[in-house]
Amino acid sequence: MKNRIKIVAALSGGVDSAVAASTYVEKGYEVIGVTLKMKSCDDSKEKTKACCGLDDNIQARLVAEKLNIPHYFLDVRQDFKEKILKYAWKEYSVARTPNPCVLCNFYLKFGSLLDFATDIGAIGVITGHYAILERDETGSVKLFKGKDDLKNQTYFLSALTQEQLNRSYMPLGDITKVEVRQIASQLGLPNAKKQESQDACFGYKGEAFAETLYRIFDSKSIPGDIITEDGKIVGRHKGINNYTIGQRKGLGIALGKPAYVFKIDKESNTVYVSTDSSLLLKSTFTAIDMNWLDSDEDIIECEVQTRYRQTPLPAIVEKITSTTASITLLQPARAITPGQALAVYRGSQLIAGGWIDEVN
Amino acid sequence: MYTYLDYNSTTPVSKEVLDEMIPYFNQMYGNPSSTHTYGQKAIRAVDMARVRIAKFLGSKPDEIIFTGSGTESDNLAISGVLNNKKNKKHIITSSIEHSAVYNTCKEFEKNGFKVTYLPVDNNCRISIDDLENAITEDTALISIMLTNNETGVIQDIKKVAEVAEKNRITLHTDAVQAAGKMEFSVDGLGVDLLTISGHKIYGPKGIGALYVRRGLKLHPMIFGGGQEKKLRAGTENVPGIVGLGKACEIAGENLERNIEYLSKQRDALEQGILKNISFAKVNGGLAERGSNTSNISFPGIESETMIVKLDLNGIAVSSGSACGATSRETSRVLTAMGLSALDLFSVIRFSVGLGTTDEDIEKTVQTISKTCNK
Repeated sequence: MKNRIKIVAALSGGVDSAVAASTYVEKGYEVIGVTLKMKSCDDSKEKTKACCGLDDNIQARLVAEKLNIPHYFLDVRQDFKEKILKYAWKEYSVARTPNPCVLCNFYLKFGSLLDFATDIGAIGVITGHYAILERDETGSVKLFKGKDDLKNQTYFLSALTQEQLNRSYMPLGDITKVEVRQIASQLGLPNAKKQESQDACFGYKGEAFAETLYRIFDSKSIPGDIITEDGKIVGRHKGINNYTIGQRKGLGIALGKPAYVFKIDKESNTVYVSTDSSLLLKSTFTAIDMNWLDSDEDIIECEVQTRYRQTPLPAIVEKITSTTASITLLQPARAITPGQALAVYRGSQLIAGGWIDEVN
Repeated sequence: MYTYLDYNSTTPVSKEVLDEMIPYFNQMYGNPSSTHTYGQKAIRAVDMARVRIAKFLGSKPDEIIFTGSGTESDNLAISGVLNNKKNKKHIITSSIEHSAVYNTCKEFEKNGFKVTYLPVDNNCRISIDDLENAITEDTALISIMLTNNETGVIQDIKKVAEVAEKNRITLHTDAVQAAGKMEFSVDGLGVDLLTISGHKIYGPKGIGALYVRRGLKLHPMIFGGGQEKKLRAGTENVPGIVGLGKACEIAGENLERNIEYLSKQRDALEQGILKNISFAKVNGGLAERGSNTSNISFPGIESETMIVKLDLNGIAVSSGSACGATSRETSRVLTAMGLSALDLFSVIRFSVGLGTTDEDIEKTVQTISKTCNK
C-alpha cells in the first residue's frame, strides 16, 4: 500500500469530478480529494448559509466517503475575491463582459490547487473537464477537445500554460456525459443524477452577477441613456455594467421589433441599441494576454471561439507582439464581446488562448 | 497506527464511561421526571452524576446544571446573568476567549451592551491592572477562561476573583480545557459560574455542565418543563449525564497521575520539535500552561499544508480551534498575542492525551523533522 503515487482530485461535489477521481482510485493511485472553498457567506445579500456551497460540500464529502479517500477543503476565498471577483468587477465597470470561469481555472483550480498538490508531494491535479491531454517525451502537452461535443470545456481552459497542463489530468476526455452518469450509477456515487450547476460559483440568489460585484466592491451603477444607431434616445439604462453586447432581454424599451445592444460606451455612459441585427456582425478584432500553447507561425489559419458553446469560426490569427494578436474572421459573426475569452483551435486542438480587446 | 494529537478538539469516550452509559439507552430508559420505578432509576442516575461532578469541582450537587455542551453552558452563564440584571449593561471578557464566550458577548454588544475585551501580552496573559481599569458601576459580569484552548495558557483566575469580589461583580470562567488537566476547585478559584464539557474529558459529546453558585439567580435559557431548576428545560440526556458524571469521577481520581503523564508527553514532543527544527517557535511557552497543549509556529510552512501532510502520514493535529478548522482565517487568540503574519499562518496546535504513547511522540517528531528539513 505504501509508495503509491499521490495525486490530488478536485472534488466540486458534482458528478464529473467524482467520476474523474474514481478512475485514478481504480488505477491504484493515492488519491487525495480537495474541495476549493471560494465563496464567502459574508458576500451574500441574504447572509444565509445556503449560499456558500454547503450542499456541494456535503456532496463532495459523500463522494470521498464512497471512494474511501481522504478529503480536505482548501480555503481560497481571499484569492477568489482579489483575483477573480475584483477582476470581473473592473471589467464590468469599463463596459466589458468578463469571463470569470477562465480566470478561475487559471488562478485557482490550476493555480492555488496545483501549488497545494505540489506542496503535499502529489504529481498534479485530476479534474472532471471534458478535454484530452496528450503528453510527449519532451514534456510538452497538447490539449484537445473531449469526445463529448456538447461538453467541450477547452474554452474554459484557454488561459492555461504548458506548465499548468503538465501537472493536470483529465480522464473524462474520451467519454461522454451520458457515460459519466452511467459510471457514477454503477459505482453508487451519491450524486450520479445531480443537475448541472454551471454558474454556481458566481452570483448569489436573486441578483445578477454584475449587481453582486457592484455591491461587494461598494460601487454605484450610474444610469444613463439608451440610444439607437440614429441618435434617438429611447430609454434609460441602469448602469452600463448591467449590459452586454448582443443582449435583447431586459432592456425595458419597445421599438416594435426586437432590439439588440450593439455598443456600450463608457465615456458617454451610453448603451446603444438597434433593431438591425446586422450591426452586431463584426469580422475583425484584437486580443491581448495571448497564451501561445502550440503555435510557432506568425500568421495562423485556424478556427476561433469567442464565447462558450459557440461553434468555432474559421479565422486568420496574426501575432502582433508576443502577447497580442489581430484576428480576422472569414465570415462576420454576431456579438463579439470585449472582455470575453478567445480560444484558438486547429481542428480539435486548442493552440492558443487570449482575451478579446477591441472589436472593429 | 494512527497518531491522534488533537485531544483539545475532542477525546475518545473511555471504556469505563461507555460501559456505565450503555444501560441507560435501552434498559433504564425512564424519564427522570416520572414517578414510577423507571423514572426513579433514571433520576437516581442523574443525581449520582451530580454528586460525582460536584465532588470533582468542589461544589455542592445542587449547584450543577446540565446542558447540551460547553458552548451552551457558556451561553447560559452569560445570558443568564445579563438577562437577570437588566439595569447593568457592561461585560468584561478577554480577547482570547473561545467563540462560545466571545461570540455570545458580541451578540449582547449588538443588543446595546458594552463589552470590554481585555488584551493579552505576547504570552497570552491578561493583566489584572487592565481588568481593574475596565470595571465600571455598570459592570454586570466578568467572564475569563481558565485555560486557553489554543495555547494552553492558564489565567490567574484567583486574582481575577479577588477583583470581582471587591467590586461585587459576578465571575464566570470557562474551564472546558482545564478540567482533568490541572487542579482547581470552584472555591479555590473563587468563581460564581464555571463551565465544563463531557467530550474533552473522555466523556460523550452533547453534554456539558454549568456550576452555579448557590444564591446566584440566572434567567432561564430554554423554557418548557421544570428540568434543571427551570433554567434549561427539556427531558434530561440521561446517558450523557451518566457519562459526564463518570468521566469527572475518573478524572478526579487520577488527576495527579494524569497531569504528570500529559506534561511528560507534551514536553517530550515540544523539546523533540525544538531540537530538530531550528526555526520552530512555541507560542505562549513562557506562561504557566495546562499540561497537554503545545502551540508551535513553523514559519514558512502553511498550517493547512502541514496538517494535510501530517494527516496523510497518519498524524492528526490542528491549527487551532476545531470550530474554524476549514477556513484560512487566522487565529483571533494568536493575533491578540501579537504574532507576526508569518508565525500566524504556520501555526500548529498539538494536544496530547491519555492515549498518547512514546511511539506517537517519536513518530510525530520524526515526521515533522522530515517535512520541515526537506
